[in-house]
Amino acid sequence: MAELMQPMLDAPIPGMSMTHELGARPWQSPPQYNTVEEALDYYIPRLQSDEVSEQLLDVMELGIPVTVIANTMQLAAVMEGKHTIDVGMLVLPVLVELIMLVGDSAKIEYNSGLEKDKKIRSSLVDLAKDKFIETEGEDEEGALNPKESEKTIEDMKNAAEERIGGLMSRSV
Amino acid sequence: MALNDPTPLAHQNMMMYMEKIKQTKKQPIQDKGGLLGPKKSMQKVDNNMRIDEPRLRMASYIEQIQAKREEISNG
Repeated sequence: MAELMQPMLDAPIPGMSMTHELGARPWQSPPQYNTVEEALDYYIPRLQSDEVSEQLLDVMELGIPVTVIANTMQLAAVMEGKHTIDVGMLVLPVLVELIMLVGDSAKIEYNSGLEKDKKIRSSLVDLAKDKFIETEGEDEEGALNPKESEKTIEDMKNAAEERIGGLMSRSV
Repeated sequence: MALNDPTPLAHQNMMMYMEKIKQTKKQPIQDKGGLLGPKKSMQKVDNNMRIDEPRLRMASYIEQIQAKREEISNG
């Protein structure tokens, strides 16, 4: 416990990543796989192999969310210079689905990690709804009263009835 | 959570995009212009629906994987 309270002095200092020569790191050189298809061609055989799928199932059974596993895999590939982070972001949802497919086919119970974000999303939706109701309330003050709007609709209907006959018909 | 792990957000965005694609496919062409009116929409080609759009290709792959998952779950 006392060890945990000690400050971490062996962490990298700010700017330490800039001390290496440009291009010395794998992610600073052109990626090995440029497109999302090439990246998937790299991932799919790995996920299908017995060795990786067994490890994957073990990790999933431990309760580690699928989203975390997928993100770790793509981040590791970015660090190795396999693909760019942009390709990684595009590949992420496919990786999640692939890992869940592996879990489903092995018939194990796993944590997808997608439930938490739904909560965040619903709260955001509620916030947006509240804002919308607020702004609607403000607009109502300057809006037409119902009688005036009914009269306008009647006028528009009358005008439309008078003009029956199409665009090319002779005007009266 | 989202700051460290963008995966749930990326997945949700992709699901929303797939839903949008489904909705745009379902919409019938509305004939508004009378006899002389254009039959096809005069709008420009939607860049989001082009096959060279990586997101669209990813959506098709996800659809395939989800279909397989459903097959497995249904037995």
